[in-house]
Amino acid sequence: MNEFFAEYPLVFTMATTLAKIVLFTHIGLILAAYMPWVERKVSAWMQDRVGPNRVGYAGLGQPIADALKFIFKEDPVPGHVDKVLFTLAPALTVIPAILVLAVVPFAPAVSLFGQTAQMAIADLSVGILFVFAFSSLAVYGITLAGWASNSKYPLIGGVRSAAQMVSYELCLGLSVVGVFMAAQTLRLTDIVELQVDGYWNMFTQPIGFLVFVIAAFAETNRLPFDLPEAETELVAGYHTEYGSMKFAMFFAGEYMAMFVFSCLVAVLFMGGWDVPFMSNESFAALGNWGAALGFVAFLTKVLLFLFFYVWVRFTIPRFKFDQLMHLGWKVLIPLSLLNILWAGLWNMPS
Amino acid sequence: MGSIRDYFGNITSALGTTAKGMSVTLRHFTSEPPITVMYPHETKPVPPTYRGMHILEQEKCIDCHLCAKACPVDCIEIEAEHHGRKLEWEKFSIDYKKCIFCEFCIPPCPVDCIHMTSEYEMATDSNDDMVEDLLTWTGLRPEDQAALDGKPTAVQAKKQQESKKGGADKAAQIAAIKARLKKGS
Repeated sequence: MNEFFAEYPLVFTMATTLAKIVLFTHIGLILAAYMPWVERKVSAWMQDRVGPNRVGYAGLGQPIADALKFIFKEDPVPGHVDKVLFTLAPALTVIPAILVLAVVPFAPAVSLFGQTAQMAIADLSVGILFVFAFSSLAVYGITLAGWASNSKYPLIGGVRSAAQMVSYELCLGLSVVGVFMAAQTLRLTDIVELQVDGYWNMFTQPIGFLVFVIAAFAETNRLPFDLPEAETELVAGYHTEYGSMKFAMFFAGEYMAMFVFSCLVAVLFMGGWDVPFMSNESFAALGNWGAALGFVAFLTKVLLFLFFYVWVRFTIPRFKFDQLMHLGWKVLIPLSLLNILWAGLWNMPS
Repeated sequence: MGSIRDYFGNITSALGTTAKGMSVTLRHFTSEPPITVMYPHETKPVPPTYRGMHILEQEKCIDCHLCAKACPVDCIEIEAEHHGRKLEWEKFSIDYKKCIFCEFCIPPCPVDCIHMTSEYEMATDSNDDMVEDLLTWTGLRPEDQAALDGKPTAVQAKKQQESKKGGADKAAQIAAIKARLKKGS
């Protein structure tokens, strides 16, 4: 085996890439499927209720039951919609979220058959640019859904979503600038490795961390920033006219986006696969066990942040639209600029 | 125009209040037990003066119709043939579609033979089932009692257990109701 792969490294790369694609997308999809269950359970416990407990043990069969229900439901397309865009919009919200997973490094490099495999599907040298390029595409899905539905509430939801994304994309980008200044690279693996040896960025740049977390909530349309789908005022916002699997895709897209942003927070600010008191050498010394340890540590951070998403949702009420804009333009952008200044001073060559 | 100090003061106070709110939800998440009652597997105790379905002591009843006359919605129908002092009962039914559970039928009774139980599970599939003949009703719904002969469901099994404990024993149930009312008053 070793000689074969040494002779044809391309075969090894293709095989491992395929395996990584299958593994990482399925981690994402399974987490996205089980997040509604987590959300319902956690919200129930926070409100002193019990939560779903009828389908399977502790209601664990609930996501499967929900998915089956979505699949067997009629797929209604109202007569007044733009059929092409109406069908395209749900796909446009899911696909960017899944694509972003391509650059997320899940674990330290694994060595197999005498070859080394990076544990990101594609370890791009412009990783974070790729992330921003594709996560911004998700807004098109929501805005198009609002537009194509051709009725008033979805349109308001879509327009709100566009306005919100434009404002918060900006501070999302600016808050990451500090991380680049510290790492001097856009490659996510390198950013993580620097944090493994040094301090986590959330400690060196607390303001940037805070701004990124808030902007991540806005980017994923989660409470307190769920104005595009504010059910108390807009019925269901941009997906009012959707049903069946099309609605399920919006749902999956939202949870995939949550998963992706949790991964990004872990990679950019919480040290990725780092375990406290471990260095790159100690990970390398453990070999593939080090990679496994890193993988577990990374998933733990992601799950903790996903819990944080749910926790915030059931604590903080929705903003008014003017408050949303005020927070975005007058608070978060100055703060992220301040963070750039701070990062510059912190990393000044002495 | 606020000063720089106000600006950062607002930000810190916003962070502080958010943290306070988050700590409240976290406390409920971690330490407060759920208050959910898993009905129908478990039920909450009803208050002592609860007015549920009626129960009749047939052997004491003298067919005086005072309860039916007192009823503001005319939901009680009584039919019996008199053979001297002996009564041949045909029906003593209460229409629970009409009954407002006002308890006006209880005080007029000269022999104290009609009582209200704490039974409140009276949902049925048809209108006819809402008319209950107290001559046959022993504290259990007829369909529940019929089902007891077959394989009981979880709810029925629970009721069956209760009836073993004395639910079917009318006298014991009536004594319990009286004791409960005494305590309540």
